[in-house]
Amino acid sequence: MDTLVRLTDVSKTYDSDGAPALAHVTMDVGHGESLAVMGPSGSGKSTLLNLVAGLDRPTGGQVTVGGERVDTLSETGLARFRRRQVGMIFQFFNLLDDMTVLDNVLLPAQLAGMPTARARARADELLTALRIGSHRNAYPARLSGGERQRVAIARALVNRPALLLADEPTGALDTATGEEIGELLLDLNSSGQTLILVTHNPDLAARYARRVIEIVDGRVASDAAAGARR
Amino acid sequence: MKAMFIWPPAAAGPAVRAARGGLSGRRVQAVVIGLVLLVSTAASTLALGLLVDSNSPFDQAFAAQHGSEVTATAQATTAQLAATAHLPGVTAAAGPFPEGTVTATIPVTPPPGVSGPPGGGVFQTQLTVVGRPSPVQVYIPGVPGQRSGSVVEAGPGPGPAWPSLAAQESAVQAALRAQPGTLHYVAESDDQIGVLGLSDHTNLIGFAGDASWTGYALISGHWYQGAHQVDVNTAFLTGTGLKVGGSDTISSGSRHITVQIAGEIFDPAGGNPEIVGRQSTLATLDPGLSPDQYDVALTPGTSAQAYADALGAGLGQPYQVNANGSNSSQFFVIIGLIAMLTLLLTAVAALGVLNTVVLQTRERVHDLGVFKAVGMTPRQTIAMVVCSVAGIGLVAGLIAIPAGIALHNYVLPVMGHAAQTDVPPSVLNAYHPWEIVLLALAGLVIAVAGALGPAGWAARTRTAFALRAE
Repeated sequence: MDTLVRLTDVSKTYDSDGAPALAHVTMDVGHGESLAVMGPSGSGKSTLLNLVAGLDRPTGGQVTVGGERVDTLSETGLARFRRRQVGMIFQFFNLLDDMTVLDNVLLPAQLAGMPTARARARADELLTALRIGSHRNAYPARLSGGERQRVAIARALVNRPALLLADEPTGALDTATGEEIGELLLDLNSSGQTLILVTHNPDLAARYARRVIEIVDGRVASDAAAGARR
Repeated sequence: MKAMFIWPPAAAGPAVRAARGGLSGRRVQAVVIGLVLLVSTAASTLALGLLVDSNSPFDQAFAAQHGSEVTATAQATTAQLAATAHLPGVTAAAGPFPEGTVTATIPVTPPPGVSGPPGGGVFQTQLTVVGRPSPVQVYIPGVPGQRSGSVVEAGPGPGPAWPSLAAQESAVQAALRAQPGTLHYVAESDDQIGVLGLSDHTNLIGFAGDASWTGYALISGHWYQGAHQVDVNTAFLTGTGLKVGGSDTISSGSRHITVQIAGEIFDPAGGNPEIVGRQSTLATLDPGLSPDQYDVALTPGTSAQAYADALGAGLGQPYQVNANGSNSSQFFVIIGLIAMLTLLLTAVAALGVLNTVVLQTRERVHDLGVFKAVGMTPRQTIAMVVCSVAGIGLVAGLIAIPAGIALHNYVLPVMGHAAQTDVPPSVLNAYHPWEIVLLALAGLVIAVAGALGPAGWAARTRTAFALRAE
C-alpha cells in the first residue's frame, strides 16, 4: 500500500517550557487505509490531526501528505493543500450557520475554483447520497445533529480529497445517529477513501478502523490492527 | 489595495456570500456601520463644500482675470487724520472687497508744522481691507485741504509740498503702465454716504473704467454696464426693498441719481449697504468721490511681491507699495479649521468602522477558522472581511453625498443670511460632477480603510486557534 501520510519524528509544543503535546511521533498511513487514533483527553490526538491537516505547524519533525511537505508550506500553500488533499469532519460539525446547507457544501469547491455547475452537481450528488438532499436550502440550525454531521461529511468530500480526517465525528451524537455516521464512514473507506479517525471510544475504533494507534502523553503507545467489521 | 481584490473569480462568490451572510446575521452591526459612514460622509461633504466655498469667490474671480491683483490705496496725512471726525469709518470704508481681511498699520510722516504725538513716536493709521486679499498695496499721500478718497474728511491746515491728487494719480498710472507684468488696472474710489431710507452708511465703490474683471461674485443679474446701472449688495436690496432689474432714484442729501440695479454682488462681510458703479455715476451722489486706489491684474507668471517691489521703487517716496499674501492669516485659520474638521470626521468614520469590524471579526473568529479549515487563503480572508463592509460603504456614500450637498446648500444660505447676504450659485455649486463621483466613493474608501486592520488580523489568525475559539 502506497504511503499517503508520513510523520517523521514530529513534535509539537505549545508552551516553550511546557510538556510537548506530541513528542517524536513517527508513523505512516497508506492510501485507502482506515486508521483510528485513540487516547485519553489531552493525549495529543487532535494535535496530531491538526498537524496532518495543516491547521497547525509542528515544532519539530516532518509531515508529508501525498508527497508534499506540509510543515514547510506558507499559509496560502496550506489553504490550497487543504482544498486539494484534505476533508475534515469535526465533533461539533463546524458548519456556518449564516449559510444554507448547499452553500456550506459548495464553499470548499468554490474556494478551490471549481466551476459553479460542476460544484453544484457534485454537491447535489453528495447531498442525495447522504440523504439530506431535501434540506439543501435549509440553514444548519434547523437540522438534527446527525443531519448536520452528514452536511459536514458532504462538505469534506466535495473536493474529492485524498484524505478524510474525522475528529470525534460521533462525539456529539446519540448512539443511533453515531452508528449511522460510523457506517457512513465505513462505506466511504470501503470505496477507497483514506480515513484517519480520532476517537477516545475503543468500540468505535474497533468497529470502524482497520488499524488503531494509541497515543498517551504525546507519544505513540501502540500501533496495531483492529478487528474492524467488514 | 487593488491586489486585495484579486482572487480566483470562482472564489469571489463564497467570499462575497460569506460576507453577505455574515451581514444578514448581524444587522445591527451593519446598520451601525452604515449610519456611521452615512453621517460622516455627508458631514465631510458639507465640510469639503465649505472648504471649497471659502476659497471660491477669490479663486473664481482671479482665475477669470488670469492674474494677480494690485491695489493702490490713498493714504491720509496726519493733518487729515487729526482733522477727521470719522476715524472709525476708516476701517469700514477702506474695504469694499468681500473675502478675507488684511490689516496693516501704516506709519504716517507728520507734515511740516505738525508736531508728533504726545510722548514721542510716530503717527499711525490702520487700514483694514475687507475683501480681496491684495497682493500689493500702493499708498499715496493725499493733499491737505482736499478730500482724499474714503479715508478722511480733509480739513484745512498747513499742507506739505506734495503733488495734487490728480498728479499723484497720474504718477501711479504712469508707473503701472510702465511696469512689466501689468495686465489691467482700474482706478477705484471708495466712500461712505448717507442714503435716504437706509439707516446705515452706504459704501460707494466707483470705478473709472472697465472693472468687470475685478471679479465680484454676482448672486444675480450682471455687472453694471453704462452710466445708469449699478450693482448693489444684499444689504442694500434688503434695506431699500428694491429688486435686481428695477430702477429707482437714490438720494443722498440734496443729490439724486436714477439708476437701474443691474446685479446683486456677493458680500460675505455683510454689514453696510454697498453700491458699485461707474465713478462718474456715483460722483453725482458724492462729488468728493475720487480715486484712492488702483486694482491691478498681473500677467500670468508675474510675482506679486517682485512686481510690488519694482513698482514701489519706481514710485519712490511718499508712495508705499506693499505686497500682501494672497490670503490673510485669518483666512488660513478658517481653511485649516474646516480641513481639520473634514479630516476628523473621516477619521471618526474610519475608526467607527474599525471598531465595529474588530468586534464583528473577533465575534466571528470561529467562523473564520472554519473558512480557513476548508481552504480559504489569507487573501480571500481579507477580501471577505473587506467585502462585509464595502457594500455598506458604497451604499452609504451614494446616499450621503446627495444628503451632504443638500445640507451644504441649506446651511450656506443660512450662514449668508446671518451675514446679511445671499449666496451666489457659484458658491453653492461647490462640486464638479467628477468630484461628486469621487466623493460618492468616499464611503467605500472609508469603510475599506476601517476594515483593513481587522481583515489583516483575520488573515493572520492561526486556523487551529480560531477553530478552538467559542
